[in-house]
Amino acid sequence: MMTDTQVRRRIIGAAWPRHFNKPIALAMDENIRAVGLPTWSEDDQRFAKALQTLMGSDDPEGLATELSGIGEPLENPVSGGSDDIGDISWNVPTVTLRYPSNVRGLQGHHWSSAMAMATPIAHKGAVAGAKVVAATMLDLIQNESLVDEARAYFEDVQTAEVQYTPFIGPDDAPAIEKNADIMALFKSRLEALYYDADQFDNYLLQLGIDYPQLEPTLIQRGR
Amino acid sequence: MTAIRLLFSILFLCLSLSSFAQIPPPPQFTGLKAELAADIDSREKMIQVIVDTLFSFSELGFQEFETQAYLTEILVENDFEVELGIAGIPSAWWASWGSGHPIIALGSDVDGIPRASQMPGVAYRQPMIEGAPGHGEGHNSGQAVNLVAALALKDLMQREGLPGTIILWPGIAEELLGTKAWYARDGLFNDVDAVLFTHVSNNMNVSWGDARGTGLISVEYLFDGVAAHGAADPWKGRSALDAVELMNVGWNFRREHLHPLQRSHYVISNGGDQPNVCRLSPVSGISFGRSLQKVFAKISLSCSALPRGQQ
Repeated sequence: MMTDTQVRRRIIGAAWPRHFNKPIALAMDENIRAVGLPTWSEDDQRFAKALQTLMGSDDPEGLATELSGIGEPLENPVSGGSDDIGDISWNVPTVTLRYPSNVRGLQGHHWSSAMAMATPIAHKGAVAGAKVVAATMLDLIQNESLVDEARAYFEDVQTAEVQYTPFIGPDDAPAIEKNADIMALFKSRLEALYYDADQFDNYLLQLGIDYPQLEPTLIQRGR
Repeated sequence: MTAIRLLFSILFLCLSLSSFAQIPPPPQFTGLKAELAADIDSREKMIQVIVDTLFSFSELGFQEFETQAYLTEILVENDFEVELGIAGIPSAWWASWGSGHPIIALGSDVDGIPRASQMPGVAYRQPMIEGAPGHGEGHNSGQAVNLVAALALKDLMQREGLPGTIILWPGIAEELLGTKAWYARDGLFNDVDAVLFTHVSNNMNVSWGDARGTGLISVEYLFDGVAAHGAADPWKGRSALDAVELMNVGWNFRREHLHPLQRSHYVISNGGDQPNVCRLSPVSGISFGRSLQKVFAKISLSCSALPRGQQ
């Protein structure tokens, strides 16, 4: 080219659009409704609202208390994020359970989305999610027809007209060296903060956080 | 010789938005499901410890080695057969227990977000370590969901003599969309009957059919130049950064003509070392026009593959 340089290219990541299995999703939805959302404490709600206020909400709604219900395909597509579970969903009957371990109204791929992720909100949401996953696995094990229906949907509906062709080729290697330099830079300081479950009942105690800590302490302000 | 890299992501339209329908009255767990739920309540402590531990590791994609060592130790202790480094990805693993069908594979992502370090449980910005990675997408929680569900079900299967195989696997480097297509390519899911994937959210739901979101290809372009003294004899040099900028300008013009449902993002991950060092390319067998067209043709070809996308 005009710069007299050379260019090579390499695929770093790939994700097909996602398609989820109807029979398994319907079975999972039954289990979601049986489990329901966690019982949030007043502290959880106060914390969630404080985060929402921090992120610019004028009317913070706190944590969800009603299930949003099963998601069904719409006719009009909408652009948005990607997840490489899409590729797996075109290879085997797949669903994604979204479980309630975080606070709505926060910014994605951002430090605000980390704030609740080692608090009772995250723990309670994960417990609810584990119950749904276990119950749905039991459905698959006890109900042979569910496995058959899932396979039939996959073959006769999902892939009837769409052939999965990977974006990556047989020789594309995963980009396994990525982020090694960043982790090397921070590793020793991160190690000093690893959670010690033998000494502390939870990570907040280890960090000296009085959950929900809505204002910086005087010591923190002094820094 | 220096390489300057331009990272380009091209997103494809996905097919449909999911809507959320009205909810009928809740069913109740009875029998074995009620036992499973009670068992999981009794393992609440394990969930808390795993969630908090992975949060503290704060590992980025492809470097989830503390996470791998910690979780696979628990899996081995619980009689899972564990294979490390699957699909040529050193931080990945494949853990299985049981025998026969159905083979159910539980997956969840484990990687963090650059510069998202944040003290948990406080309602103000306070990095734990300035500039460090953090779990700014909550990928520290999904393996706790899957692992505890698997352990509870495993105990029940043993007691009741139920057949089946449980597999646990991680989404490594999901933030780079870096592994699941490789898992699929290498046939890991060929015998699997169902995948239950879990992802953090702020409500609890599942969907079927085409999901909201886009497909994506992330491509790195590496430009090679040759160094020279930027002031003394720059004519001996050729700048790879110039090439990156030209390509970027061209692509940004192209954006006007993308379909509104197509997206494109980029970052210059390495723009050079210092201004007084040119990057020269000793040999260039590619003419400007042809090369540029070739690069753009590849991007354009990818984009034209909407909606299902093929290169």
